[in-house]
Amino acid sequence: MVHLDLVSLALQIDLTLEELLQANLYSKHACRDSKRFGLLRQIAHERAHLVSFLGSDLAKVHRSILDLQLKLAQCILWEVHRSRLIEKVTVPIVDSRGRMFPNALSPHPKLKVGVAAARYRELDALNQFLVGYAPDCEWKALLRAYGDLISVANGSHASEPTPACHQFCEIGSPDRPLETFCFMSEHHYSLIAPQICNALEEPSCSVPILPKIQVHDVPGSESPMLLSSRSVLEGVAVISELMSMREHDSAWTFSARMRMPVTYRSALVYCLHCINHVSGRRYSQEHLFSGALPDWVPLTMGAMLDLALQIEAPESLFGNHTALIEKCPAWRLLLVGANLKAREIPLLNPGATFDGPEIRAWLRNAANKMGCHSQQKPRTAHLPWPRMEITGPEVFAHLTLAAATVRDRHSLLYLTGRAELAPGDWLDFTACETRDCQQIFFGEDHVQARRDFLGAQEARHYSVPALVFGRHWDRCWQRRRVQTPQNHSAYIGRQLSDALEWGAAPFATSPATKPAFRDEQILVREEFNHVLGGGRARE
Amino acid sequence: MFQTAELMSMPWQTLVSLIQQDSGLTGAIHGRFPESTTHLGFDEFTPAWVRAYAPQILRAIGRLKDVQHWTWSEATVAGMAIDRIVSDLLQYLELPPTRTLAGAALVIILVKGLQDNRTEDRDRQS
Repeated sequence: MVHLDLVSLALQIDLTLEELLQANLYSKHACRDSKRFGLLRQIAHERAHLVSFLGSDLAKVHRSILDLQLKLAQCILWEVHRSRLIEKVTVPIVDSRGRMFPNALSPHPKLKVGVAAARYRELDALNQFLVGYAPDCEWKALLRAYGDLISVANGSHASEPTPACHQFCEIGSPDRPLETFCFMSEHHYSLIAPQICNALEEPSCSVPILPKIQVHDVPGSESPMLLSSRSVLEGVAVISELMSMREHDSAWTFSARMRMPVTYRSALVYCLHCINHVSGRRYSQEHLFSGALPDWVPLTMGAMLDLALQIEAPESLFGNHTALIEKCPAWRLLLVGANLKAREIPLLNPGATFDGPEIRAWLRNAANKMGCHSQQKPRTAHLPWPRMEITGPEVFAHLTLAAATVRDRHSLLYLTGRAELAPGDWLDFTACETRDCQQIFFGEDHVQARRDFLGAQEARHYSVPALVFGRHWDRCWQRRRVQTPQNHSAYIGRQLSDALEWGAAPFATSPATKPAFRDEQILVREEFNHVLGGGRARE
Repeated sequence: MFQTAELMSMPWQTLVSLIQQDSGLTGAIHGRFPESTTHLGFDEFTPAWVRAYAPQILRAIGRLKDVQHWTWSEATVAGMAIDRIVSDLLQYLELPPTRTLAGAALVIILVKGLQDNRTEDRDRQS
């Protein structure tokens, strides 16, 4: 019923405004009604996702991937537009496997489009690796995609990865020496290999994309499981639920969370395993979800997971951080766990609290052990948002700065929204009514800026991939169909032209020439056309 | 062993549990439809998730049009057709036929979700 959209950075609740008002979530009695309480918990869970995502550089890397994918989609559009041989533009332009629909009749654009589509898919895989599950690709593709991001961030160039035995990609720029960037260093591998099944099961596969773990000291969780970045994100949100639940009805969390699929739970199980390993206990998920654990256990788990999320953005790549696994929350959690098990990082003291000095010191020391330089000095930037008007494009920068600053000030309590904050320290939620759902986002005094941001994200990161690759097609048109039932080809033509215009600077031969697609050029593929509300491709 | 007709009468949450027990299937879905990564839900495979991704999944295996013409009351016919869609889906995802149970559960929620969506759309327009 509630979900978070990582692109528009808004929580969406599948209720009409009337239903939401009826639920009266902010009433004192909401917690006594299981249905309303369930909805409140879901909102709190998604909110924890949002703040933990924004409070980490993961959001910046994710945004860099989206921006680069948009550029590649624009390259494809430009190739199609400038090909004089094309009379009709068939949308979507490229299919899910990178094959072009009959837009390009000459081999030249076909080749360029093929390359751009392949790079686009590799960035998809990298995105999966960083915020999702196991991507369906080889590590070399991930390295190439990250090399692309670095090239954009640094104005440098990345070479193709060298043969598998080295697992390296070289990166350099005219003003910097060539640096070597690898998927995983020898040091990492020696630290990690004893912990993962992949190395034992598949000795020939020396570098698995994601670690598969099997633990024997967490009762009820003995089967092998894949540690994914999504399980780390889920783990953070679940720990924040547990932190909030302590004063409410823990039975609800227990029943809801025991149904959680193993793909979501694996990071939590791994954290419990590390704690059991060091403390000699046998804590289980049942203990965790029923609130039966002493506070220091979920606190240590929350700190481990939070630290795993604190990757560094591509612009800070040059320097000491040259392994891709250090950018992946799943692998980072394994590194944190390895350090904990080796007692390089201690367990938290039983007296530690969620925003006390102990947890701050622990996070700083652990970041130091992990070599995270950006985490060692708390960010205390003054937040200008509440005191000035901002525009849509500035929203992302403000959201990430706000979340990161509040994280640094309040440690893990930032996840729950219960931290005692200074005036203007935090951006509250605002509900925005749409036709079929409620969208909730930060920034109560800046609704227009946030709406502009939302609209721009929808147009760039959903409409353009829909028109070029058919991605998100239904999502885009389900809303659009009601608003513009007539003349779809004019609308599509406008969207394509807008997409070209956003990225026109690198392509345009003359600044005065605005690239455009004509309505009569547009032809929608049959299997996509039904969403537009009829059998006719063009009006 | 469940029959498809039996699965079709099961509640949504039970079907979701069946899907989630099969990490190979969920992994393949996420791998083949990476855009679903942008969607973080309290639970996965909810009606909102289905609304966003069902058409895309069914279109990829060339079955969207068939499904859009069904009504849920045509249960027997749908049951037979669902078996064929499951087989197409597993083939598309390059999964072995042993995943039929979770695959059938997934196809059923995709079809159910689309039906509910159509009904809601009709209600809204009327």
